[in-house]
Amino acid sequence: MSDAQTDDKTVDTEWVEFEYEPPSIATATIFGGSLVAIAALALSTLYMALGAGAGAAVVVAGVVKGRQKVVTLGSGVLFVALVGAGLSGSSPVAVVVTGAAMVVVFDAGRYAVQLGTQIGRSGTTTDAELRHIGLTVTVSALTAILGTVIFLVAPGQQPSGVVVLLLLAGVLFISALVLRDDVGDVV
Amino acid sequence: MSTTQHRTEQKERTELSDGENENETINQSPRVRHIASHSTGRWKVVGGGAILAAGVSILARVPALLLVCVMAVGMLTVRQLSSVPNPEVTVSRSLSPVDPDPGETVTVETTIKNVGERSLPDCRFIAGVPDELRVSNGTPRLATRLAPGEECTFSYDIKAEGGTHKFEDIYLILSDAVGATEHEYKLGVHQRLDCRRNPSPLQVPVLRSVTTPYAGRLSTEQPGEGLEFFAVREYRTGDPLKRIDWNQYASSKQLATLQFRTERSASVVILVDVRKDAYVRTDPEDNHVVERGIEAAGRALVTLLDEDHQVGLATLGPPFWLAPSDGTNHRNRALDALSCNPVFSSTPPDEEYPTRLRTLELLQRLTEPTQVIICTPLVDDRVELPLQMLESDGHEVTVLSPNPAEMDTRGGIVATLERQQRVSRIHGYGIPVIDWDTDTPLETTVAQTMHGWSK
Repeated sequence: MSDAQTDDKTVDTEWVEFEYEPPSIATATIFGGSLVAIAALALSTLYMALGAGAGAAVVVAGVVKGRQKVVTLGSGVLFVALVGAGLSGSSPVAVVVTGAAMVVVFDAGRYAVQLGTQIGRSGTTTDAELRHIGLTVTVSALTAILGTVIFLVAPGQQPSGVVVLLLLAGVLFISALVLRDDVGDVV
Repeated sequence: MSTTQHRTEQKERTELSDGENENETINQSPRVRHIASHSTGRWKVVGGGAILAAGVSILARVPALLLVCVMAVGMLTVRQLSSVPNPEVTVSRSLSPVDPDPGETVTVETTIKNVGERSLPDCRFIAGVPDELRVSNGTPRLATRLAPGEECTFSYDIKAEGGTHKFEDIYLILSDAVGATEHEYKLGVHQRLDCRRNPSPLQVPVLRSVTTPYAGRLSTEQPGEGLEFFAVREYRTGDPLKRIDWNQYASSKQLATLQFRTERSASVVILVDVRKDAYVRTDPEDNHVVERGIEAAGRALVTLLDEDHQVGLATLGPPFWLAPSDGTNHRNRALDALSCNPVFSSTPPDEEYPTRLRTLELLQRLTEPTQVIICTPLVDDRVELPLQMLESDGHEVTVLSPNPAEMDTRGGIVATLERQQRVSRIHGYGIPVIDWDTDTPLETTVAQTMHGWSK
């Protein structure tokens, strides 16, 4: 906000009222992540790229309005576009890049709404944002690279029973991670 | 850290904070109270999406979609490894200037230091601003991360208003590294901002007629020594020469004596209604109506002291008594009380106080006929009892009532009507009610009411 705007506001209202505003780094991350997802899908399937664009627009709308549910809905649209791209034969690299970008957009969107609601327009949030979004981007990128490498170098032919067991193990593992009790005991 | 250890530390911290006095700059380990914990649910959504993608991948035999699961596994594993640390912080808050005048800007600087051994990866602080004061610049909110030994500072400006203002607790939202879980705490940091009231005197009389034997400036209906003309009577032997009406003697050759109104000082007690029930406001943005009651009491106080009356202060609600007196010391004592005594705080008292008992105490203290000015918003029927008790005991009562702004809601309309009926009833007891609207200057209202009452 410029000085002139600050002065005008002070004169008009005499005091600073709380106003919702999503923090800048998280908002920039949402735009960046959305562009990456759209570009990765556009290389293989244009329709799904358009779908991802629509999802990203909904996420941005949710962040601007401060609605967590709208952000989740937009991310859901992004997810559908991602699955659609996978089904229509996109390359594994495009899928994994879009997946990583989608996770980042979803997390940054929800975090932006949370900070915007709790801290608002004039509060400082830079350190918290850098820490949180930096972690999400780093972990997503590393996982994406690791996953792609394993996918590309893994032997192609396995007995079908082994594949089913591995998938089952994978799903159970994810379930265990998801179903963890978040809150736990607090002293 | 074990639970017991942590609890013991919390107890020690509480004792430490209770022992602190309320200086302008405080640095203390706050009393930490856990309020709530909740999951943001963010990573459960991601996990659900991953499982869904795995299902679609298996059904459609598209191996590439399995990579979406891998993406989720990364973040979910990090979430599994992270936890919310316990907040171990010290808080330092400084006010500048320490002793502001009403309307002056006060800069409040709050520094929070992480004295624990674990890093606080995502902490958000929302400092409680005193209820009646508003932030004019900056913000009392901050989101940051704090490594062990690291500190963060946020400052904001508030516009000081007369009276005593309590700073509320600091609200802390502490999250783990990936934002899966949030714990909410309140950090109790006790501090007060005292802003000395500087009320301006009224230019109109606020008293009724009862007087004391002491010389003063209140004109009475008794002839005697004074400045204001009262009447002319026949000359009697022994009347001083300076009182003879020489104009009449010149025209009619008959001696007559001028009489003036006796001026006496009154003994007045200003009774301020600071009961819990009186702290009402029609808009969360507005001040409590008690604030206006205290303002009116302050203005009446300085007006009466300027006129050489003996003025005391008392309260309905939390007990306070300052016997009627005059002089500079008494004036300072009364204004200090109105400004800094917690009884006249901008926040409501925690307890209820029996109105009848408080009035009986006051009646025992009033040994001679005393005028009582009650500053009350008249928002409930219980305030009528002290009015009746005082008036029937021979003390002339005047009600100075700041009128809460009217509301358009049904409840607000009913409250307004009830208050109007209450005012009518009090008029019926023979007590004048100065009904002070938010839009009208106090002087105008006082002048209109007292003029109408004297007719």
